[in-house]
Formats: sequence, C-alpha cells, structure tokens
Amino acid sequence: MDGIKVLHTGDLHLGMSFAGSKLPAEVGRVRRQELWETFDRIIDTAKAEKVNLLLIAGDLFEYKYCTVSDIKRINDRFARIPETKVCIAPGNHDPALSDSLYNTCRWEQNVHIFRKSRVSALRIEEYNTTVWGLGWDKDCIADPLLESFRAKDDGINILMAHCDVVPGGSVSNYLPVYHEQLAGSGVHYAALGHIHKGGEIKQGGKKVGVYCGSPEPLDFGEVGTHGVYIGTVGRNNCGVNFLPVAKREFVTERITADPTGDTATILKSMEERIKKYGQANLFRFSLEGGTDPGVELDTAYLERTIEAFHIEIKNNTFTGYDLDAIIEEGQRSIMGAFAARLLEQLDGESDPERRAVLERALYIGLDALNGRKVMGR
Amino acid sequence: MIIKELYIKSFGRFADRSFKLGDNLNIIYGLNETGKSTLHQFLEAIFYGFVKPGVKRRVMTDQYDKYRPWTGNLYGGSLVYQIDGRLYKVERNLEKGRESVRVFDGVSGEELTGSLGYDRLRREVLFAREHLGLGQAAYKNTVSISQLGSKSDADLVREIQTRLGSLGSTRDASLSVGRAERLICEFLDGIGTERAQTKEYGRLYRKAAELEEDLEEAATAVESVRVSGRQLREMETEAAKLKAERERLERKVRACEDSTLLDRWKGIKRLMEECESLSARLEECSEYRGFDPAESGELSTLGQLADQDRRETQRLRSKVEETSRDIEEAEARIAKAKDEGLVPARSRFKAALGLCTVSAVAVLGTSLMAASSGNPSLNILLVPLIALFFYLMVRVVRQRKLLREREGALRDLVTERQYMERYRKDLLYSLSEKERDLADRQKGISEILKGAGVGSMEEFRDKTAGFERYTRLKKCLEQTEKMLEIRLDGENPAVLKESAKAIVEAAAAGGTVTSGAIGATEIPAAITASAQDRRERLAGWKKRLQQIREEEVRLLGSMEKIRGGMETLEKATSDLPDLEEDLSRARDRLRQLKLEREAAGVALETLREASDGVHREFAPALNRKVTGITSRITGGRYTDLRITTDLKILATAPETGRRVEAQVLSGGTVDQLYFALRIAASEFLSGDRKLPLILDDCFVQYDWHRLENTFAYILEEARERQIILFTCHDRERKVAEALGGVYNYLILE
Ligand SMILES: [Mn+2]
Repeated sequence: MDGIKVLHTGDLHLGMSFAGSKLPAEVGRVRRQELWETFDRIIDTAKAEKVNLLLIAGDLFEYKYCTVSDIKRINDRFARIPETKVCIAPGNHDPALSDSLYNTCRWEQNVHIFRKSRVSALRIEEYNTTVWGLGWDKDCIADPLLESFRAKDDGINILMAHCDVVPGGSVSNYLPVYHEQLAGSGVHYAALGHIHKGGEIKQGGKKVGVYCGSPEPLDFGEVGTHGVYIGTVGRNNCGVNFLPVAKREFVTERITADPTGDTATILKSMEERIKKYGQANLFRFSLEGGTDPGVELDTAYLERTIEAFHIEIKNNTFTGYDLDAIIEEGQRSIMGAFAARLLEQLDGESDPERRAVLERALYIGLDALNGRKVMGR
Repeated sequence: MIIKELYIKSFGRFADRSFKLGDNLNIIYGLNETGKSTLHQFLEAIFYGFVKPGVKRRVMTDQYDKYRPWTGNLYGGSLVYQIDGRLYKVERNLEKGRESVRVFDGVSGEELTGSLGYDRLRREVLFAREHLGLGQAAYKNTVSISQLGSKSDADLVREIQTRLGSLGSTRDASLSVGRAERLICEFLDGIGTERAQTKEYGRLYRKAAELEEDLEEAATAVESVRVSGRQLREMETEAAKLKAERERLERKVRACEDSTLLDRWKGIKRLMEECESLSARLEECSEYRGFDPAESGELSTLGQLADQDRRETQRLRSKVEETSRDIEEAEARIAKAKDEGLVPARSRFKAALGLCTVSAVAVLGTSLMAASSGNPSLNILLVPLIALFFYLMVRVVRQRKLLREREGALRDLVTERQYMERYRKDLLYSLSEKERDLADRQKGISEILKGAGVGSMEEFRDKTAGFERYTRLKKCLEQTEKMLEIRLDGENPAVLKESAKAIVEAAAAGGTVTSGAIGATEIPAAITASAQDRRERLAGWKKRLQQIREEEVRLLGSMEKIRGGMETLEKATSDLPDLEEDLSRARDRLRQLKLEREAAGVALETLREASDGVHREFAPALNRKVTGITSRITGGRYTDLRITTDLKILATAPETGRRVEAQVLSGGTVDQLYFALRIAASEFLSGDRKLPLILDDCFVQYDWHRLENTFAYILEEARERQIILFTCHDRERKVAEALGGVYNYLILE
C-alpha cells in the first residue's frame, strides 16, 4: 500500500454550551444540534471516502455537558464505519479523567483512545502504520510531553495530540509542543487539535503538523470557513487537504452608523453583507461612529427586521455632542460644568470599566440635561 | 398669582362658606379654634389634595380624616385665582372614591382639566405644579409659611439647589437640573433594583438567581450522573460475574436434573414395560380367571390321604405276603427241628439212658458182688465201672440238656409261628380297613373333581396352578402399576417421555441442554454421582442459585433504580448548556444594566455637583437677596449673611462680630432670618410668577419693633404680590394701621 487514507478532525465540542460565545440559549440549542449534524457529516464522509483512519485530535465532546446517551450516539456513528479505525486523543475539554465517559462507557471495537498523557503507540499491521498519541488525563498540562518523542523508522508514522504548538521554551498550560519537536518527531503526519482556527504549522518552510480546527465554528472568534482534513498519508508523500464541512460561518462586520440615525441606510449595508455571506450564517454587526444629539438607533428594530440565522448588533455609536462647545460654557452653565467634570475624571481614569461608566454617565447626563428621555443601551 | 375667592362646600368646621380675598395684604383674624388653620389647610388641599407627597402611590395623609365633614356634605370646594390676568377656577372633591379636580377658565367656564398634566400613579391633575410652579414641599416652605422652623426642609434644599443652577444659566434658559435629575431618575427607575421585581434589573436579577440555582442543581445532577455511572459500571461487572456463576450453576443443575429425569424416566419406562409384559402374561392365563380352586385344599388332602392309604395297603399287602412267607419258613424250620433235632436227640438220650442204667446196674451188681464177695479185686473192677457210670451219667445229662434245648427251640419256633400267624391276621385286618378308607377317599376325590368340572386330579391341579398364576400376575401387575403411579406422581408419562427424549436428543446433538454447555468433567460427575450424592449436590447448588438469583434481582433492581435516576438526572444535564447560555445572557445584561445604573448614578452625582458648583457661583445672589430682606426686617442689624449649600444661614452676630449659625441667635431673630430666606427662596423658585405668600401666625415671637420692621417690608411686598396673613392677635392689624398700610381684613368667628 502506498499510503493510508485518513480523515483528521477534532474540536467538535459536542454538547457544548455557547454561554461563553454569548449566543442566546435558543441559538445555542440549534447549534448544539448542528454540531451533531456536522459530526454525522464527518462520519458519512469517512464512510463514503473509505477512510482507513479517522483521527480525532481531542475535544470530541464536552466532559462537562456530555451524557451517557451522547456517548451512545457517538458510538452508534462509529459503528457505522466498522472498516475505519477511529483514533481519539482526548483534549482539555474531554480529558480522560477516571470518571470521564471515555472510561465509564463502552466504546466500539474500532475505536482506540489514547487515555494517558504519555505517548503510546497503536500499531496497525494491516496498514504498516503506527499511530502515536497521547491524551489529556488531567485538567492542566504544562510540561512539553513530546520532548523526548521520536517515531521509529518503519512504516507510516502518525502523531496525534491535542496541544498548543508554541515556539521552543514557551510556557503554556495547554500541553506545549515546540515547533522543533514536531519537526524532529519523524512522523509523516501530525494530527493536532486545540486551535479552532485550524491550519498547517510550518517550521523552516516545511509542514510539521496540521491543526484540524473546529469543523463547526463555535463563536465569533472563529470566523471563516471550517472543516476537516482528509487525504492520503504515505512515507514519501502526504496529500491531506482541507475539506469544508461546517454548516454555518460566523461573520463579524463593522458598520458606520448614519449620523442622523437613519436605520434604512444601516439596514441596507447590513443586508448587503448578509447577501454576500448568506443568511444561514451568524452575524455580529458593530455599529460605530457618532450620531446627532437626540438620535437613538433602534437596534432592536434592526435585529427584528434583518433576516438571517442569527444577528447581533452591538451599538457602539455615541451621540455626537459638541463637547468642546459645551465645555467652553464651563461653569456658566450646568451642562458645561457637568461635561467638564466628567471629562476631567475621564482624563485621569485608566481602568477601562470605570471609563466605560464615566463615558456612559456623560451621555446620560447630557441627554437628560437636554431634556431627552434617557435611553438604555 | 392672586387668589380671588375660596368657596368651601364642606371642609372641617366650614360648610358652604365663601371668602373673598384682596389682591394685596389680607389679614385674617380669628381666635384659636375659629378655623384659621382650616382655611390654611383648605388652600393646600385644593392645590395638592390629601395625597401623601413623595409616595408613588395614592396614599391619603392623616389630614384627610381630620377635615372630613360628618355632615355628609361633599368634601371639598373651589378656588378662584388669577394668573397673568387670566382667571381660573379649580373645583376639588376630596371625598375618597369620588375624588376629582376640575380646572375651568374663570371667565368662560371652559374646562381646562384635560390640557393639564396628570400623575397616573397618584391620580393627580398636576395643575398646581403648572400654576404655582412648585411641588407641595416647596409650597409648604415658601408660599405657605407657618410657624417657622429653624431649619430648612431637605426637599426645599434640593429644590432650591437645582433651581439655582437653572437660574444662573444665561445660555440654557430652558435647562432644568431638576428635570434632568428627574429624567435620570426615571431612567434609573426604569432599570430598577434587585428588589423591584417588575423592573428589568429585578426581573433579570431574579432570573439570574433562579438560573444559578438551576445550574447548581444541574451541576449536582451532572456530578450525580458521574457517580452513578461509576457505580453502574461496578455493578455491571458484579452482575456479569453473578450471571456467569448463575449460568454455570444452572447448567449444572439442569444437567443434574436432566440426569435425574432420565433416571426417573428409565425407571418409569421399566415399570411401564413390566406392566405391559405382566398384562400380556395375564391375558395369556385369562382362562383361569373364572376357576374356583376353593376345594383344592380338600382335594389335595384327600389325594394325599388316598396316596397314603394306597401306600399303606401296599405296604400291608407286602407285609402280609412277607408274613406268610415267614410262616412258611417257620413251618419248615419247625419240621426241620422236629426231624433233625428232636428226634435224634431223643434217641440219643434214650440210648445214653439205657447204657447208664446198664452201667448203674453193673456197678450196683459188682458193688453188691464186691460187697457180697468182699473180694477187693472186685472193687478194682468197680472203679472203672463207676467211672463209666459217671461218664455215662454225664452223657445222659448232656443229652438230656440237649434234648431239652431242642424241645425249647421247637417250642419257640412254634410260638413264633403262632405269633406270626396272629400278626398276619392283624395285618389282614388292617389291610381291609385301609382298603375301605381308600375307597372312601377316592370317592371324595371323584366328587370334588366332578364338582370342579374336571376330569382328573391333574387337570384340577393344572387349573388351580393356572388360576394361581393368574392371581399372582394380577397382583404383581397391580403392585407394579401402583409403583408406577407413585413414581409418576401425577405426571403425564408422555410429557416425561418427551422431556427425556429432548434431553437425549440434545445430548446426542452435542447440544446445549446437558453436556454441551457444561464442562466435560462436570457432567459425568453430576450424572454418575449416586442419587443421594446428587441430591445433596443439587440441593447445595440450588441453594446457591437461589442466593445468586436474589442477589441478581437486588443488583438489577438497584441498577434499574440508578438508571432511572440517571435518566432523570441526565435530563437535568441536558439543560446545563441552555441554562449556562441563559445565565450568561442574563449576567451580561445585568452587567450592562449595572453599568447603566452606575453611569446614571455618576451622572446624577456629577449633575448635583455641577449644580452645587453653579450654586456656589450664584449663591451670592441668594445671599444678597436674603441679606437685603433681613437687613430691612431687622432694621440693618444683620447685614452680612451667608447661605450654605444646604441652606443653613450663617450670620455675623453684631454683638461679637463672630460668624455663627443662625440657630444660636435669639428665637425672634432666627424666625426673621428664615422668614427672609424663605421669601428669597420663594422668589427663586417661583421666578416671576409672583406667588401669594401665606403667613400663618409666624410673628408670634416678634416684639413690636421686629413686627414693625417686618410689616414695613410686608406692606411693600404686598404691592407686588398677594399676602394672606392668618393671626390670632390684633397686633398685625395695628402695625399695618400704624404703618398706614392698605389691607383687607377678615374676621373668623
Ligand atoms: Mn477545543
């Protein structure tokens, strides 16, 4: 055999909570389901492509949220690809702790789990392949555990780990692995997990490892196309390529608000971008710029009106008061005295939280002094 | 504003009374309990009602009951006043449940109520705020001045402070710190606090708390699920172990039971076969079934006796023959004895005797010759003669004895023969007797045989034997059947046979029922063991099996319970992400609201500071005003006053030249100072509205001199604004007279 066919994924985070991603529960609920759909799609792909090895580089599921029935569901999928050897290297979100479902549940025959945080080998004679791997079995790994690892020089060698690839000597609590270690490991393919953005890791122009990335992006920090890596790993040539599988994308866009607060203009530019990416995606629009005094942007209206799977609008606009003119009034008017006091405080304030309060106080006060109803943000 | 007329429909002591007031100074005189305070209170009640100020709901003050008439008349009345030349009429019904305020144009009678502000919460038409420009608190402290307190009301302080700010501004004449404050407060109010559950903050706060609780519950559930999972895993192992042991035991028991069953079946089968063969044999001798062998004993006895008799006759006959032969022999012997014994003996005796007698005669003769001869030679001859004699004599004796013996023997022979003959005679008798007996018996036998319908003894015997065999077989069959029945113990042999067949077939098929699943060493041990041994082992196994089954049931029960619990708990687990998301959203929003609240607080605080700052800038104006008034009413005694931001008055005591707080000064002076402050403040607050000034017995503490000074100011002030002065003294009227003032005088009785 000239090589073996692998599908490299990980960071699925099945069952995860999107609380940290600031998604509302109703969207979170849908996304949780979609993670499962994507997992199914990956399995289908593995089946259709007759993949020899399904490499899951950690964070398959959430230790905290996953239930026994979820594991049954996962194994049911693995059972659909009996010809494929499934290798799992648990990550920091699904560490193989003693009470982990990795240890307390029954797993399919074709599944191999690297349960220990030291490199062990899975020899697959059939493919003349050795899969080296290690898995998280504690909550924090700060030691560069791959330091002395070196694959044996026979057959095809694959390495699996859920780790943080950092420059040599760097500190990380997420299993630091140095570029040089990867370069010198002697493996033909390093299937890594942890960095959700995904991508190839190069050392001196040479590819030394691949982060699969999250096949389904999980928050607004994970913009762009997401998927898995699939292809052939051989002793002499590796043809493993990115394959998009994500159902949706996260899109973040900045939009400069019309100073007159004309929502139609904003709506239009938002809709243009939604058209560009597609309605099925998740959008975060940041409204920026100053608006005329008295203008109150109706973001709720915008969120209601725009059609897309998920929209959030951050109103980062500010009322465009002529602060200089107001301050000039100084002590001669309440408004001047008020603005001057707050601006003075702002000048001496470095704590961003306090600054946010002071800035907001300035606009609340100015609105009120101008006899306008104070609108909440 | 000039109050033109009061009409009291019913209020306190008054009913259907009207009072007309002058545009300038009105002195309303009345002794105590004549209704001064009632009138005073009536004015306030018309303007503000009896709703408790500062409460966001409609709550009645204590005054409501105090002035409520018991006559049943309508509680309330009306007021006519003039603002900027326009007449207004306000009608108020104070009766709870029927409260109403209606404002009319005093001239056209057009109702204006609808165009005025309305406080929904307190259900108040806000005409007083519009027309007086003052809240109730400010009204009480400025328009209406009763017994002067020596301190300023906190509400007044605030109102003055904020008003001061707006007064000082040249640019933003419309700016109102008070309004800004109100807007911010409304905003804050809209957000709410932790406690206000109808507001967003409170709602979210409660929701977050609930979510946290749920989350904690869910987290506990997750932990429980984990623990349960571990437990379940251990239990599964245990259950598998138990199951394996149980199955092993079950196989052993089954093998044992199978072999027992096989044995039993074998036994039963044998019995059944025996029954069958017995039945067949019974059938064979069924012909003897009806035979009656009752006489067989008798017959047998008779037969035996006949045999005996027959034998006896036989014996007797031979005995008779023998005896006859003996007799013949005896005859022969007698003849022989006679012929060969007796006869020669007698001859020999007779010969001997003769010889002897001859000898004897010889002897005698010789002897006598000798004796007679006396010849001794003769004696010598005598001795041989005597010896011969004796010899002959002995011969005679011997011959005689022999004869005698022969005679005796013959006699014995004869006796014997006689005996024999007698004996034969006896025998013959016996024989004849026996022959008669035999004939009797044979007759009996014939009768019995005839009765039994058989021809011969042999036949009878055969039939008897047949019958006995039949009986025996039948008994045997019955016993065997009984045994079979006991063995079967109510079981259907066909079923048993099937079971046995199944076992055998399974065993033959190398199957699973017996030998297949069980170890090769176990099966023979189980099967080959003695029944007793097997029973004991089986009992042991069954006991253990029972224990295992109980253990399994218990274990499976616990597992089921844990699984059920897990299922429920897992539901809680599945809520966990949702809860976290909801909580995160709620917390974010709360954080935002907190920021808003904090910002609003900062805005409010800064606004007040700014306002204070402005106040500080414009305080001199107030100072000047108060000082001006004070200077006039004290006759120039106090000319250097300072009003603090909280409206305390600092005065320079003329005696010591030291600046002191007004309170330390004499009561009359304090009253004067605060009187001045309130008038100044009233002007500040009402702007150019020229509100009336209602003074209720505020000069009690004034000496004549102070009163004169004050009244000089009041009379002057009364040119510009209406002053309503309630008093129970005549001094005020006198002072006014003395100062040549114009006033409207009313007396209450
Ligand atoms: Mn991850």
